[in-house]
Amino acid sequence: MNKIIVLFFVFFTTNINASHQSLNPYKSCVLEFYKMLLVDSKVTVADVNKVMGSDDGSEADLLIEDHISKQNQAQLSQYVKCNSATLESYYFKKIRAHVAELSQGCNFETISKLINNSNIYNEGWDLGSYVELKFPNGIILYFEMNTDPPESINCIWLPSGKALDVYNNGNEMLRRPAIINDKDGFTNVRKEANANSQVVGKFVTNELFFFTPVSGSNWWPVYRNETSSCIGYIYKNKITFYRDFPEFIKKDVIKMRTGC
Amino acid sequence: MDIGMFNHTSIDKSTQYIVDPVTGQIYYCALGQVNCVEFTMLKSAYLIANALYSAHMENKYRSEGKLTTYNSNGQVIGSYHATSGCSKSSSGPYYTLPSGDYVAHGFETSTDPKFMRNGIGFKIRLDPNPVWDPTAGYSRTNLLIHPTRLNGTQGCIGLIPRYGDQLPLLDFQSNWNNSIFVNRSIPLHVAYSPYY
Repeated sequence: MNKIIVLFFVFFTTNINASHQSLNPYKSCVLEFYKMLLVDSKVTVADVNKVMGSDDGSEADLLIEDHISKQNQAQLSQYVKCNSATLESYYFKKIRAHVAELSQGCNFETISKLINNSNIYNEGWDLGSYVELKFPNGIILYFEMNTDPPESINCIWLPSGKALDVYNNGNEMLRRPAIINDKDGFTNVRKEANANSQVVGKFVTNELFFFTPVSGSNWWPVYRNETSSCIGYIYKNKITFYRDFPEFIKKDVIKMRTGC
Repeated sequence: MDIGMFNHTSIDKSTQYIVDPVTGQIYYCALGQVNCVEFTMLKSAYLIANALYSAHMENKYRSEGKLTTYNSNGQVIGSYHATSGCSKSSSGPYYTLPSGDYVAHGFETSTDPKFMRNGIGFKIRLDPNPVWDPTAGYSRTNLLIHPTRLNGTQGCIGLIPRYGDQLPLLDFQSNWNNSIFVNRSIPLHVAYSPYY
């Protein structure tokens, strides 16, 4: 009987380890993030550092900014560093405020399955990839991953296209490269997000531009380049994604986004 | 010694300054055309005299650590999370910036996405250029300091505060821009912990 129990235990633990090892490192990172968000009651600074890149003083900065500590930044940073294994992460507490938007009402088990089935792609970034997490309600979150080991989450892009911002001092939008998908050879850019709005520009076949995917909207904001402001909106069906670009346009994007 | 930097846009091309012989204060001149302008006082305590990139190796190629700046009294002005090198890029791995002494100069703002993070972009050149890299076995060229979107560079020092946090980059930009403007260049020492 004892032998059977031991054999069962060995079989069970081997399978757990095998399934964990087979998970892509980026998906593992996202899974660990959701475990911290939805399962763990206490998340330490060290836990966050493992999943979201090492603390650069941001824990200390946030404590000072919110008047939780009156120590100076250097002293506080040193204190946080020395106690990272036990100290609860204030940075992650701020992330928890977004739990509804990040989980879309799903529990950890459901999200684990979604992560397992998620798409991973790189849109010309040399050192980055996106884990595209699609929820049953149609909402999509994009986890931008640092691909150089140790892998970590660089940024989380919310359904609005904005970055998850615990600092309230950024207003950046996710920008994905695109070309048009239109047999007419051009697609109009509208001033507002509807078909009756004024035409403010157009893109022609194979002309590279950038867009923000906004979950729940059929009209997506577009940009002439990676850093310019929004020029208007395009109907989402008129957009061809990076994976379907001709090779010569992919090369342009890679050239633009890599090498420094 | 205090440094005055104009806020006034109409005189932002002024490059001359005068030193108050009594207080030792420096005032940038508007070529005598502007009698009264607003300006911000910058203490010399915030002018960078030298900098240190002190890092550990995250893997064989990429280092991660702090770029720390010091004033002429040896006090720390700022400390910024930074990385150099990468092990997985599509064009091959790149070793971290070789250890040793450099001179940083030539601050430029940039809208190139390669040199941007959190909406802020700039680049600062490093000399010597090229520099021999004994680990890589070849010379490294066009090395810079700049914000970087993702964890890794081709040997430049990339600034990587947590995503969305603009303040460290704004602080870095302001201090380095002012300090290079006044001192022309900033000595930089690069040193690594020997493990990864």
